[in-house]
Amino acid sequence: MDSSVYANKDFIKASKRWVCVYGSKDSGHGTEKVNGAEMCKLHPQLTCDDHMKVNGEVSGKFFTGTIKMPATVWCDSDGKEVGKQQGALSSKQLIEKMAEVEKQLGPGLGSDEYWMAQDRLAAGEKAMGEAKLRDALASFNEVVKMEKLPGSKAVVDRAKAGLERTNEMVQALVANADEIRSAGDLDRAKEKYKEILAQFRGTEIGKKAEKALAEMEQAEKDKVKKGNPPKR
Amino acid sequence: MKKLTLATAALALLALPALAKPPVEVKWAKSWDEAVKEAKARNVPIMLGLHKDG
Repeated sequence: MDSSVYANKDFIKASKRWVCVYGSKDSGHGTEKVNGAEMCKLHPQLTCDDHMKVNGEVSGKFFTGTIKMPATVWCDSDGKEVGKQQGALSSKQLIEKMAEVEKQLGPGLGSDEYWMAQDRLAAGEKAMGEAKLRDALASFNEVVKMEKLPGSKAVVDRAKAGLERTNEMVQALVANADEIRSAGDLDRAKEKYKEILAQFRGTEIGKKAEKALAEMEQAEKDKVKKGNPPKR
Repeated sequence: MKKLTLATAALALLALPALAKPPVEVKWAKSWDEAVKEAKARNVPIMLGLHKDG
């Protein structure tokens, strides 16, 4: 099944609606270097330790006694068995069985969408850590846009939480600039508004910073006109 | 807060489309626990393939 079924494009397509796990206690098939790491020759995105670990984790969970290999187990999203088969299956048989199980359990989030969401959530967190708040908002918003997809609740909830934390940071930036302005430290307040404007030009927050800067500049001009230069 | 929500909405429109590349092979979970965690998060079933060499 390794080369005939798992490499079949129709199976790969169907597998995106599932989480697939591969277990084998053997490592005699060897390894190959992938980006400098020793990976399983049969499935180079895994190490042989990975599939040996899976084999150990599921040992005795779904079969007892001697198993006719290869064997396949289908489970619900909690890992509870819904079907199993000993012996090889063709791509067609496997895809048909998968479709049958999917029909029983209903649709979920596809793996491409899930891993894209994971990527965007990580990018959002990273941007937030680097105070690149506009980038963080954009990353989290990409995930929130997946809201209508089935099975997206968990990733969308995480993105919404990320948005909320980012918005709090944006609000703190604006409050800080306003506070500095109120205290009369106009040069520093200008710097803060300019920092906000650099990240949020074209948005409501950016417009607020622009307005504050314009007001401050106008106030300075008015003072100069009256022969009363602004405090530095 | 309303203004911040508007900022968020404006940025949503500016967000670049996702650059997810479709995998050309099956994506295998690295452990059973990882598989269950991902399956719960996506609300999808799990397929376990057990094999031996030869």
